Amino acid sequence: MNYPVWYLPLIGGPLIIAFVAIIHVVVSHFAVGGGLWLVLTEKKGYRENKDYIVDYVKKHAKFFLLLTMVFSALTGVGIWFTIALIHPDATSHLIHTFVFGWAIEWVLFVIEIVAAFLYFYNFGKISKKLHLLIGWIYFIAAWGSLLVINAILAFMLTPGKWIATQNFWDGILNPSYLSSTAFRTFLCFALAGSYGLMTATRKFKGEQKDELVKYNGKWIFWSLAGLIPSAFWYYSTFPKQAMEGLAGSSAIMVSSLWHLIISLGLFILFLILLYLWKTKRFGFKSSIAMFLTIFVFFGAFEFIREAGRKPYIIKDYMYSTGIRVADFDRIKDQSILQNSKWTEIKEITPDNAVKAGGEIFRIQCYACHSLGIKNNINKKMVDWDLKKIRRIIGSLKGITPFMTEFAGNEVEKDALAKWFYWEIHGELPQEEVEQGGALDGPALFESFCSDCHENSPDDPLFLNTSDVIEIDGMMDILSRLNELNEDMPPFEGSEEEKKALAEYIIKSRSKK
Amino acid sequence: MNNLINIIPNPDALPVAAGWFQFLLQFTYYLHLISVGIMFTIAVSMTVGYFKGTSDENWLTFGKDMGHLLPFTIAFAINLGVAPLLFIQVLYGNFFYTASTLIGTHWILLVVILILGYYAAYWIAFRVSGKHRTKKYLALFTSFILAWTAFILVNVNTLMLKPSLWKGYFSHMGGLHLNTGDPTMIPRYTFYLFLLLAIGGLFIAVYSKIKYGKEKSKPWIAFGSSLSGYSCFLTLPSFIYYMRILPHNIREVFLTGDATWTIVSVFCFFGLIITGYLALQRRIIPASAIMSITLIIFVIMRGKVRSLFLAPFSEKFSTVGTNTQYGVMILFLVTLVAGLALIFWLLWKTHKERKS
Repeated sequence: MNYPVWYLPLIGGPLIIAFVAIIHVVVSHFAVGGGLWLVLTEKKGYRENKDYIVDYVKKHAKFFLLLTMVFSALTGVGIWFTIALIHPDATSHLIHTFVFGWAIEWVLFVIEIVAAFLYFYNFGKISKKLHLLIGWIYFIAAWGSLLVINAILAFMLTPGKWIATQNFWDGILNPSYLSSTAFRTFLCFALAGSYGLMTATRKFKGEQKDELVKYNGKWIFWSLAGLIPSAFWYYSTFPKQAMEGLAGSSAIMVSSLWHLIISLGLFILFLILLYLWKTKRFGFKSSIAMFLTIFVFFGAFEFIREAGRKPYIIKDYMYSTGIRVADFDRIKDQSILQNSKWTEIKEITPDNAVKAGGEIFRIQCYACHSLGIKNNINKKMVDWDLKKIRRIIGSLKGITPFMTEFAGNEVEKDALAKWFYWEIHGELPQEEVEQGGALDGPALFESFCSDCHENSPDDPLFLNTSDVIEIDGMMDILSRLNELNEDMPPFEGSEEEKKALAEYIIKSRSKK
Repeated sequence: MNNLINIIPNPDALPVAAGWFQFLLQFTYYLHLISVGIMFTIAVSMTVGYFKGTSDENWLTFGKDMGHLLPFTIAFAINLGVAPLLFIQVLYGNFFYTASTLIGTHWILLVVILILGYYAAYWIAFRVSGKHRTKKYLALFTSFILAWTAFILVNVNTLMLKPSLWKGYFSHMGGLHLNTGDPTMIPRYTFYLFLLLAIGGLFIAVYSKIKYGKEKSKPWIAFGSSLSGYSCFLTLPSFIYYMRILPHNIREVFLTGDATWTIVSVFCFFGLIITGYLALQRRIIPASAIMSITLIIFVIMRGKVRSLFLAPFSEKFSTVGTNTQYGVMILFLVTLVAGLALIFWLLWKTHKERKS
């Protein structure tokens, strides 16, 4: 809200970020793990005096050069550009808080580039000892980059003491830093081994292939031996809300967790098959399948990490919308439009309400939602009337753990609801806008209760109110919904609607 | 003015005094500028080499040599661009992010086209058996991409200085703006293109002298120094025109209004003339020395122009916060020195072993 955003509502910001990020993280992790793979495999070639292994490493080194110098470096810049266009407030904050962390990472990357060039262009041209040393320097610099960048990623999920102290080191050495570093390090190694399998099965035949398949299999085995315990360790440092999400409160996190478990299971199964087949029948296609499973595993993990942070971009400090937690209540009490720099409308009138709603969508919703491909918010509202849209906007926090409250006043809530309705239907419902809906019990139940409750005797709504037989008593409950349960939104209808709904609930219960 | 101040995003606090970041920004930008000059000129020379190489074997060899150098220079130019990009975001992030959002689509596409250009450069370098015709057009493509990258960077760097142009955002929020309506944009861009060729031309002359030996290097020293010399002189019309169209209060600072800055601008102007003259005389070492000093002056002058443009909005500049990070800055400086020492040691050691 402090900044303008690159607004592509049909694609949506998160999809663009996800696309660039997933490519970059896989390639960059691969570049780290590959660094160790190169140097250890080269050492093996020298130790066993096998030229074909040294040649194999040289070909890998060329691939690494093209991958790290070009793709990893530029997609790294790409993800930086992208988050600055979609989440400029958070990017600015991360840049200012950790500028010297980023700067150290830059120095490490310069070392990485020089070492990668020297490593590739000096195969057989300098002593083995110096060549291996350059390989080690490449790996240490690449891993050092991971140490810095992962600290900032982990900070976004678990800022820990930093929230109170704002101290650089409290931000870096945050609660999930060590565990996530261990996890990512072993993941880097697993990726490197998986790629090694692909090239071994592609380039070699017979005994040489078997030997290198087995070598890469061992590499993966030891990576998994570190990866699995570190995953549990990492999980133990997750914030409570993220753990609850994985335990079932978030459908996306649960789905991602299943992807993660199944892909890891398949990956292990491939590894077992590799040994059962004694490497003979383990071919290129199997290695591609294995690589894809680790790719899915990685993607699922990144989804869980991202989702575990929602609705924050920096947990407990800044929401995905760019609003700082400390400013939220003030903005909610005042006005989102008046507190946003990049809006044309500051005062809502009946004439500009729909347009103002569009501006509010851009400020409040676009960080996570689109009107097209990904997380299309309109699809969910196709059958909703204006009143229901408005009411849902007023009770976002209780609906899903990913959402925060609407940060605007009542007039802005109305404007946003009108804009959504107008976006879906191309017009506004005159009657509903002017007069409100009819006092029809089933319709009121549908509008106010049906998102979370069913019209069934087993539903908590009916079970927990079974001793309330007077309409006044039921109306009292409806008046105190958010006091009785903090996840419930307050009842937002008129007194007449409250009475009609109370009557309907009591009648429905007696029929059941 | 109040209206403009209101749309400028509020800045985040700095972890150390702004002067440190100004120094780091200018220093790393200086390195970036030199590396970009070398990269761009190598790409252009490679293209010339491949085109002229259709009928002249010497030019083809030269083009191939440039082609082998290009991937290194792209790697370093991009990497050395990261640091000034970081420091400008620290000092002027609220101006920079806004400008980059306005040109967001072009901005993000830079990454895509740079990847394509970079891989094209590698293809030319690694594909020994690649068709000459393909390499020729790929070389042209790579040069064009690098020139386009400069164009977009000049767009964002000029747009960030003019909040009065930012309201265009409300007419289109999808990032398709370009700052072509700003009269300072085109002269600034043409100035840069010629300045980059002037820098890189000298590099090619020096490189050829070292690489090809006394006799063989002559035509390429002539090519590099002529390219540099003429480019130096071609920067001057853009320089003069740019100064002429600067807002009156800014122009005055450099033209007699402030003695120090007037001397700086005169030094920059004559630095380019002297470099050009020396380059055309084939005196490449003194030309390179004068060019190095002129570039320092230019970078300082450029920083001053930016601060003068943004002076009316100084209340939106980042200032030091309560949580300073001088200890972490020292850690960074130590890492930088140690890293550079390690790199030089690696280069020296490798060079020594290769020689023996």
